[in-house]
Amino acid sequence: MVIKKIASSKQGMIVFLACSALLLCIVAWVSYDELLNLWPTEKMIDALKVKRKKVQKELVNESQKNNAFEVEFSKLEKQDESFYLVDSEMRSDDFMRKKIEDLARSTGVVIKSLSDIRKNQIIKELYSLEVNLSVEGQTKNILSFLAGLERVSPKLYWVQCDLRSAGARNKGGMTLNGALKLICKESQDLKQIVGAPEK
Amino acid sequence: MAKTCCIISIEKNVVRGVRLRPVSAADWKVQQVFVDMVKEGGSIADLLRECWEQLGGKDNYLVALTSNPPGAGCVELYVPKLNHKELGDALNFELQRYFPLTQEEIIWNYRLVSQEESNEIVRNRIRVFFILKSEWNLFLEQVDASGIKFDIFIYPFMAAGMEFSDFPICLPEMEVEFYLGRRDDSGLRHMKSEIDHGNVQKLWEMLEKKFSRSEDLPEFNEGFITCLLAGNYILSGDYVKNEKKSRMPVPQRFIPQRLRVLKAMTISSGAAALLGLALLAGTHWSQAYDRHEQVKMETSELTRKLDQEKILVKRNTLRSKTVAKVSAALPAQFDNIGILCYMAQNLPRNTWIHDYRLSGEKIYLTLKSSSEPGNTLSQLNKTQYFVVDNSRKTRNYDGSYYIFLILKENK
Repeated sequence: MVIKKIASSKQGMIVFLACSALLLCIVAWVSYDELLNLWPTEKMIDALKVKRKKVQKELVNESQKNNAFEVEFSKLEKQDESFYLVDSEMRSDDFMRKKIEDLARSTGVVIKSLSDIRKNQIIKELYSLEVNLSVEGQTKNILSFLAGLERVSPKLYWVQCDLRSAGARNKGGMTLNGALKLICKESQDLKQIVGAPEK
Repeated sequence: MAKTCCIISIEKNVVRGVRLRPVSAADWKVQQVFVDMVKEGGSIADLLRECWEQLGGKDNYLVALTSNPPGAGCVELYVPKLNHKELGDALNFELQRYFPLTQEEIIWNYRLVSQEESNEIVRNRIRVFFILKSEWNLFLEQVDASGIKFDIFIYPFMAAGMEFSDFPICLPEMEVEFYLGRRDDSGLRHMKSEIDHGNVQKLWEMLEKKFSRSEDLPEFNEGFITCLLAGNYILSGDYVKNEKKSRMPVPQRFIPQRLRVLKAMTISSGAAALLGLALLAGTHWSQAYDRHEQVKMETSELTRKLDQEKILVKRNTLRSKTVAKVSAALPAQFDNIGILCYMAQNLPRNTWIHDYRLSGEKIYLTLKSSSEPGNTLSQLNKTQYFVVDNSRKTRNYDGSYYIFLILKENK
């Protein structure tokens, strides 16, 4: 009835149209952003492209971080075989001492001193053993000793190595002072110990 | 200047028609006439059709009907200077004084007769035509039956302007006792009912002077006064001035549909233009929307990947620290034997190793040379085993040199 009354009078129609227009304006005002999205302008597309570029750059940065970690891990992984597995038949410190003594004996160098073995925990399930040593012998023998140490597996790393002439008391002889390091792992899989990078 | 017009007068059972053409501003020519009465078995509609044919009616002619249907009349009033709407409201009220009918029962319109100024007060003299709605509808039915289209309806007395104000207007087609005459000293003219034939002749003479006519016209006499009066009104321009006010509300179906093709073409062109614009806008919108959506999709895909990478970085952060810690615990891997062999092979004959010390990441190498080493040391840098990080030399008192080198791992 009300609608019929409104529709029948000119003034009613004008009021109705004005109200409708006002309502439309309010809706347009409230939903301005959504309405704009319905017809994207060049400015909006350009703004979006800038955003895309920014995200792309950020993605490259983050990818580089992950790649750097993967490279670092892969380098470490390559050295995995040079680590001593603690589950082996021999204790790690005994292995280290025995290798040095055996090699000295076989190459004919004299061990002047061999310190106690020091243990440093690097991380859980991974530690290092370090020993100071001083050997003396003919140059040829010292070089054989050095070469022999290079071939030892698991690897004995030189932390310090000081090679010099033995002086007047041993002409033609050389003295080798240094510190050797052995990395020991308590688990077979290095990935388990340090954790492989997630991809 | 108005175009050729056909004016058809319908009175009781007589139909008259004239075709007028303005040759120049001062010469209006009657080109064709028609007059006939309803014969037995015939009707006004038949006569109207016959009249239209006789006049050579065309769609582009202005067609006016003039008649004095029953229940019609006119009065004159003085009214203040008002706009059309205000005057309409005032007349709606005023007309009730003249006849006891409601607004719904009559149709009326008015024309401005003159504008007068008295004691600095401007007032309009208007003539109001009124007709009972029922009678108007009956009149329209008659016309409708003939199929004739017309532009305007003119009540005969409404066509008489100020130039005919000196004498009563009496029309032969009217009921014999009706004429338009002065009511009182005010100058206003109303329809009156007295016989006054003498003025038919005067009016005819005045109108005859205004119109020339073709030689071969058949009967052309005072009976055409109404037609000529209406023609005079239309062609003189008075009608144009009063058109908005005095136009009777003729239903749309009676008005000739002119320039149909042109109108149709205009509408079609407009529609085609609108369609084209809509298509253009649609294409533009579609392209813009597609591009926007594509960039949006790509951005969203990149954002998704970025989030994944960030999660990975976050998860790997702890492992990365662990790996860094382990890597830091691993000493640099120098090939001592390799370096010593390389030195032995590449050092000049006057240079030998004095001291070889490896410490952490670097090798501190002391060489002794019996004479100036020259630039031969620069050759040492060309090896895979190390890079020379630093070098300096000192001269001893005996002319020999100590060369101190710091070597770094060649990564």
